[in-house]
Amino acid sequence: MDRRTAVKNIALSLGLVVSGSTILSVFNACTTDKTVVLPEFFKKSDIYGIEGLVDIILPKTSSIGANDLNTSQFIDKMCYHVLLKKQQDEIRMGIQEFSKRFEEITNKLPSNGNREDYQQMVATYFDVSEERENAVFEMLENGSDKLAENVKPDYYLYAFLTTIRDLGMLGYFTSQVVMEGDIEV
Amino acid sequence: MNREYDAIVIGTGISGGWAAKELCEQGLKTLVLERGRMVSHGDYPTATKDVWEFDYRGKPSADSNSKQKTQSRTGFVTQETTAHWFVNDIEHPYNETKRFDWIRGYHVGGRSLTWGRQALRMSDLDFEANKLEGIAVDWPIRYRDIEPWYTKVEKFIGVCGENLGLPHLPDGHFSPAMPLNEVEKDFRYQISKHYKDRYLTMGRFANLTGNTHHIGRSNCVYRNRCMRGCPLGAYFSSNSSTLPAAERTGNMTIRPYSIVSEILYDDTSKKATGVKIIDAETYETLEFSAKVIFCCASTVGTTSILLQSKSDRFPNGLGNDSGELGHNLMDHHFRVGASGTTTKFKNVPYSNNRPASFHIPRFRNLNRSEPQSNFLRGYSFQGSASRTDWRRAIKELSYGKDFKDDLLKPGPWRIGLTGFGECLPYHENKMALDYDKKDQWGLPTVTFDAEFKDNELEMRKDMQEEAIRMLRLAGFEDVKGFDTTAYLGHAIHEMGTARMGHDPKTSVLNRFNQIHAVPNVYVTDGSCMTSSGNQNPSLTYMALTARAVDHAVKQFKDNLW
Repeated sequence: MDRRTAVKNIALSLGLVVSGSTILSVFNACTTDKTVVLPEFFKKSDIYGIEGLVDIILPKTSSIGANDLNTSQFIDKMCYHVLLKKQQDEIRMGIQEFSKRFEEITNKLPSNGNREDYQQMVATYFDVSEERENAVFEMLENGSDKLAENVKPDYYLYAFLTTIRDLGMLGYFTSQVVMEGDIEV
Repeated sequence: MNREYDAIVIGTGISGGWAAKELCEQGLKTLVLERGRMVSHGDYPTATKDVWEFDYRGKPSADSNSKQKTQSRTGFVTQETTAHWFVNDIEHPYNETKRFDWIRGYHVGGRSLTWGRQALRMSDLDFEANKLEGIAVDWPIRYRDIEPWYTKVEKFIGVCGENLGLPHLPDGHFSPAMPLNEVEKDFRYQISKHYKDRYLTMGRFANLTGNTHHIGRSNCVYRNRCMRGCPLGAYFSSNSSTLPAAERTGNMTIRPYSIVSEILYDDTSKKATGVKIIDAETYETLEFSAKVIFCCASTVGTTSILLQSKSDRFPNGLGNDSGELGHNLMDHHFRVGASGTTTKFKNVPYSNNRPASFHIPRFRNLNRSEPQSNFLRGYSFQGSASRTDWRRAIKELSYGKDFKDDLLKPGPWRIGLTGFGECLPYHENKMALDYDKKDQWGLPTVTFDAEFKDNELEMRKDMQEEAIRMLRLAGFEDVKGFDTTAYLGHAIHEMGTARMGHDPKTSVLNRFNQIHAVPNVYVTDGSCMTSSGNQNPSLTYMALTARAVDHAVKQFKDNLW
């Protein structure tokens, strides 16, 4: 039994839900004293990065941000239960690629990155020309099967980043709090 | 359980519900058989859930998709909100020589719970077309034969809409139409300004409006969750309407989990004597007898039962003297049209919850004395305009404060038109049974071999071009056409595999929906259709069923059986 499975089993024995203040404090990077659920799809070290991305994509302003709603937890659940196997594999490749590039750009591991580092990462890959944006979505729609090997890292990276963005939007904008308009901080 | 009845109805969907109601109200002790589970009115588990109450916010899980793999190809029936209304493809397999999207709901009420509710009459433009064009066989009825039954059905089910006085889309008995929004009103005006032969009207939907009284039902409150089942009974379904009506007579016995494997035939009397069923849960085989049998198991279901009902007299399936049983499979082709946006109407009040779309009735090939298109028959458009929501930003890489703040507000108006086109009846478009591949009840599985052909493909080009043209003429911006590859079954209007006709040598059913050679068996679901028209067909199925029951009851009461 690997460590992750063991941790998960302990959590199950505790009734699935553990408190962020327990010794099993996991992926509660942006808030404290919240009830959290152990990740099913991502590694707990990945969750810090996902929360970092979500914080840039849907930040807290005068209204609540995606991390106020534990959207990373929702993203994890969706990746585990909704994505097909091939998509899951691509996301796993994508998060590896993201980590690699994060280190190249910021000289830090994602788990050590601060808000400015994540801002820099998102800007690097999202602040692109319209032409590049269209090319990215065309690449994603066509799938990875026929892509040249040297382009595949870009494919996996964007599969990961756009999935986090899409699921983050879904989790945020279809939440009860946002749909009922009670969003002022 | 009693084994002898006056009548047996196979199926509880939109046709079966009507057959049950009419037979029971006419005093016949009626056994109603449904192959799936019981669903009573109100037994709609997701009807009142908000999107955040679903585990995956309405998306199908990978596990759910794996169990509904073929149906998930449609993209719209296996959502978390409605997946429970559609069968498990692994438990109910079928075969495709060519792709066919067979969408099935095996439960009491069938697809009447999930239908599109658009209730349109066919006209003599449709009923005469085969004869005048030398296509397939002539319908054995004309509009005058079915007109009073359309009225009867509309009054009972409740249809809201607008009369237009068009001969090719006959007027009906309607309660007030649901309102067009301001963008749609403007589009309607623009169409009337640019075209003499085109009209935009609010769709005719089987949702209750106005002041009419319908037992156990109340008016639509614009929840726009119809496909989940409506606890108010605000739209018509077998569960909310016809089956309760049949129940109230005390003449109905309903038996879920009853898979009809065969209609039993007696060559001495030249009549059917009953049905053989397999209990879906216990696998027990039972027989029930009756003097009249209504086949309403849906097009493919009914045709399968008839093909399975072999005897010395009918070695190729009950009533299949013509060899046409299983052939002439049709469906409407859709998912072709255009969309556009407008920057106008930013400040008008709006709601995106109206459970109905607008309708642009057929305008092609209406008058045979005028030049015809390079395809036969025609199509109509259905569509709507609404304010876009956060999903407008999915295909972008935008992010941050401004992005979030913008998506918290309604986006620009977007309008979309989707065509619904007629499909011609082709003998070679067919379904057949594969006895080498049986299901868990030992019954043969269905193999589909059907495709849209040149006439439909030519029509689709015109559908897209005209949708684009109309939107541009009306001043919409960013107008884009679309044409998603069409497969039969996708519109869930499959029909035609036991067609009506004058001649037993070329058709399965006569003008009253009786099997030519077995007059106490009536077929009134979509399989009876001789051509498809472009109209959503359920209203016609219901009207034909009511008409056929009227005929059957007269025969019954005259002791002809």
